[in-house]
Amino acid sequence: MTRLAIHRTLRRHGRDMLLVAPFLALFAVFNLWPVLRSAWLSFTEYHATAAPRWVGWRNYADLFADERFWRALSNTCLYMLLVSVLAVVLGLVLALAFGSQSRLHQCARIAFFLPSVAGGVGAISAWKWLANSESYGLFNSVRGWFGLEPVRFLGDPSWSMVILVAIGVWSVLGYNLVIFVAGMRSIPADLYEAATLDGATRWQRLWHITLPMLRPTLLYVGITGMIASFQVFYEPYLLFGSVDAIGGPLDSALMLVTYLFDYGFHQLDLGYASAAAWVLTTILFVLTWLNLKLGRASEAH
Amino acid sequence: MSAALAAQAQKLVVWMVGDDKVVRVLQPAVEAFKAKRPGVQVEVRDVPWADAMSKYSAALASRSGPDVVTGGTTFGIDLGAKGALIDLNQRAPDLVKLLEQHAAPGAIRSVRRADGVMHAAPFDMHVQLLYYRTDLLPKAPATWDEFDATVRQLRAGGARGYAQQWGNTSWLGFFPYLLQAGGALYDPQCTKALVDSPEAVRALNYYATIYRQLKAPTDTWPDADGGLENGSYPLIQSGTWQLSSLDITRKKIAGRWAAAPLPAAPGGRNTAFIGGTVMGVTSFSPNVALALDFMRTVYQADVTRRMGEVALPLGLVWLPGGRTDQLAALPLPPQHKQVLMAQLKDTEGPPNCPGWQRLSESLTRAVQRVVLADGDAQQELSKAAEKMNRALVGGR
Repeated sequence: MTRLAIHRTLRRHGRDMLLVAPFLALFAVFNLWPVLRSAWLSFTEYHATAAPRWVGWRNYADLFADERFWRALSNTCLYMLLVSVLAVVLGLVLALAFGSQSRLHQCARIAFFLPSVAGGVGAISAWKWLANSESYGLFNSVRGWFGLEPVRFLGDPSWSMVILVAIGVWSVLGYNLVIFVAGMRSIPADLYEAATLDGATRWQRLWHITLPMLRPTLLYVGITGMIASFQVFYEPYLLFGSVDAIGGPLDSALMLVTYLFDYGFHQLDLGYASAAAWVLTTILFVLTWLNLKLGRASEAH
Repeated sequence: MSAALAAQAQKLVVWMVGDDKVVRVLQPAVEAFKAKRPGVQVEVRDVPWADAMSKYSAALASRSGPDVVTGGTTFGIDLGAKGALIDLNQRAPDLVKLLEQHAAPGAIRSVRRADGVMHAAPFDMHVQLLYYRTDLLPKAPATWDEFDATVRQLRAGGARGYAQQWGNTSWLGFFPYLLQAGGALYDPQCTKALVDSPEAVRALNYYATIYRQLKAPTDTWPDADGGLENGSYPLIQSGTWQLSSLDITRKKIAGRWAAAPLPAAPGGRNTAFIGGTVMGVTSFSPNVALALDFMRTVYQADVTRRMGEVALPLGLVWLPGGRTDQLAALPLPPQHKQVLMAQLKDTEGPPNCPGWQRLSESLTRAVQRVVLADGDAQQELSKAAEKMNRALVGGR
């Protein structure tokens, strides 16, 4: 670019560039730099107490050789799959059931949406009581009414994922419901009227109008839900973590983020934790790309 | 010299893990220190346990923040090993000598490395104890055999039996049984892991019967004190914090419970795990000499006594890990003090061997594979030992 061209660009866009400069500077300092720095740290041995030492691919090799990493990865994938599918399917069912403007439906939507705003640490403490392994835990009390023995929901590896998925679905269901209702409202009513005149049943209208028209919403909810569930942290950490163990019984509640938190902040192995974070980022990137590609292909079809 | 120190630095920053109560417990030390050095400000800040790791690592990375820190024993050991804390043995041998005389021996063994390096001093301590309902049990079991018979009897009577709280189904819960059976995690020089020894296998097989046969709860942190209150678990294991909190949080059973030392193995040992927090001086502190002087004040006999006295109205039993000689002077109920002193004769903390913080997971895994998945004790412990040995020679 010649000096003249630069001068012209500055004259034309100088004010705009000046206006976005603060944002760009903040973005570079607080987003871009940490990400690049963590990429570099993933190739170093770094404990925050001394300067990072370059170790090449060693962190990644150690990571892939660690059976706990694979356990965390498989737990996270299973959790993501179950929460994403269940939250989308149930959210859609609820949107179809409570999508109107009637007072009852509005109340129902508020009730389902509450966990999305009232979640967090307090909600997990409540879940801890609901799933208490003793006979006075709510779930075990219900089992007791049917003459069933109490179950160790938080102490039996086979129940850990069930509890985590239940909490995961509970916390995002209301959000999905609201998004689906908004998506359904944007479908032109004349499509349904024409289909009704043509004698289409409710099921046919759902299958041939609602679902195809909701595809972008489904894609959005699916991708954001998938990313959020892949980054699950505080639910397993608060429910199953303790001072001396972080993954619950037999690591049945160990997730990728809890795994990297354990290495990064309990063991101050920040280089290794950065490598784990980059594996997580890469997986998320690939999954999102695949989802978008499949979504576009299906849209074109 | 003291005037020169005060002139150099007017402010000392202390970070303590815990809530605001720990800050109030330290006040007698702060006052005593300020009386000695009127020109120096002491800022004491509590760091919640949940945030401690991230706050400390951020401070380490930025080389700024506290001069003096407290942290969990294992974390303190690990911070020291990574160069974040100064070697007290080198910089304050007088303080180390005092601690060697008066600290709980198990706590000292945890913080002092085989080569003599000591990055932190025992600050407060908690010890595993048995708690039982005196209206439901005539006495606490004193041996493994008595324990087994007692729990079976409780279960036959309709109760759910026994619940372990501190360290349940993890290395920390298994650790006392390992030592009671005559085993150890490592040899004294940290050159070899010993968790696959016949003693360790015997201990793990016994530990597993508590869950497999006596049906103890397997949750990470069972509601054992709740069970003690409602009678479903008339016998529980927990930490010394219950000595002060049970009467406050479980008012229904006030006066109907007692504490006891852990039951002894056939060999006669009744070792309990000793945990708590340690105190150290950060290696990036610009006020190392002043910080060490503050630590010397903390470990003065009269200051320690006052800290223990301040803690009681706050609902805390503050047990000075570095000055057990002052325990007798603490205003604790005599029956609690007696049990505590009896158990303190045989306590052991986490090992100070390379990589233990990370490797504790492999022992927890071995314990859980045997307890929860019917794994073979010898096989699982051998796998854990292999990993621990690899870490000793620098492997991950």
